[in-house]
Amino acid sequence: MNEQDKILLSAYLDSDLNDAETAHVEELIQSSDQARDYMEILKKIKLENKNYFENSLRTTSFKQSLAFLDDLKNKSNSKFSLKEFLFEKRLIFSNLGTVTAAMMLFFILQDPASNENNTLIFDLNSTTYSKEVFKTRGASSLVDDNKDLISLTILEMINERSSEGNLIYGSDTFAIFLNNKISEHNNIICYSGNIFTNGESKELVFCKSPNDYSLIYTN
Amino acid sequence: MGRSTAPFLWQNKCVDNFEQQLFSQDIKQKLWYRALALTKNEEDAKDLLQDTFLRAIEKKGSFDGKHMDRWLYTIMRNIFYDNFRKKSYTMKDGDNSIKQKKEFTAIDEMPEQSVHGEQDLMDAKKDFEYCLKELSELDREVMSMSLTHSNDDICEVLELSNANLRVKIHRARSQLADCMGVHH
Repeated sequence: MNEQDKILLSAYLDSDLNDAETAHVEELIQSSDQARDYMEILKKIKLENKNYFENSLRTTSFKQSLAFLDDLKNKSNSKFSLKEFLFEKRLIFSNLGTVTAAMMLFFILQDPASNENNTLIFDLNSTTYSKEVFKTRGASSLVDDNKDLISLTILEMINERSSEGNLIYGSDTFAIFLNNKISEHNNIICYSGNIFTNGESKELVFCKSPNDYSLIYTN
Repeated sequence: MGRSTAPFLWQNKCVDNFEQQLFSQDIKQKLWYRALALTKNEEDAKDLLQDTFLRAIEKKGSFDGKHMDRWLYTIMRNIFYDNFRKKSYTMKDGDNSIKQKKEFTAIDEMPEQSVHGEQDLMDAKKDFEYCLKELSELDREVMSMSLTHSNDDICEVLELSNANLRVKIHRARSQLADCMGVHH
């Protein structure tokens, strides 16, 4: 029995063979004690694997996870509560960030000066700011999954007075363009622009204050 | 004539459908197996599973309505690579004694068995668990997914050819058999 036969025996156990391969394996099992013994070993391992994972469903950790997920489901089904939204322990930073960004946007829309935003002078140069970041294996290439990295890059672009940015993340490239300055009030400056990568495109608004910054995707 | 409420009803239906799929028993089980295969221990698997669901709710706008499990796997892998692997590398490289201590503690905390049959089962479980941890990350994922997915699905999710998957499953089983002292 060669290595290929062993692979076929394993696949036979998973019903993953075509008719010809099935016939070959069944003949092998009929004619070879070694093949039959090997099949028994594979069956035992397959059963141990199944038992291991199925038994894990009875552990305290999994039961605690289920309780957590039930709680999460109930919360997501219940009416919106501002207090819970803001102070949910595990989401507190991202939620406060979202609210801050929403307030900034509200402020921009309410600001009479923003109605005259044509008068705002776009103060970035048509230069390109480039940055390369090491990407770990398996890390996401999606714009949504790399918001922190993109936010930081835009902040650096603005600090360098560049309206175009080129973020190289592993084998992916994010092309960032800041097109307009849409607000400037009390040291809070906002720009609108776009980001492109792998056929994905997003419109964005980026606001910065002396101490903080925030990125909002608007589509 | 007032505005039609149809878009809002449609939107609510989508949200309900999203949550229905997200919290289905099938998804919970698949994700648990995957988390266990990635993290190699139940406590970390619990954290990874919970973080995955939290992230999924945050990002539900990016779900395209198809293949909920594959979308969640991507989220889970991202969290795992961002957080968990970094943590285990730190423990492995920085302070080996912490890792060893954790392993010893886990064994010490095993409930005492009063019945011989249960003791045998527990020993077999510990043996298998040890051997499973010796497999590569990808092989562990393959072994966990083989319980809940068709081979075609595994190939698509893990980006493997069918021939390659067959070989991987066989080698993983063979390695487990060697490790467990089942002779062939």
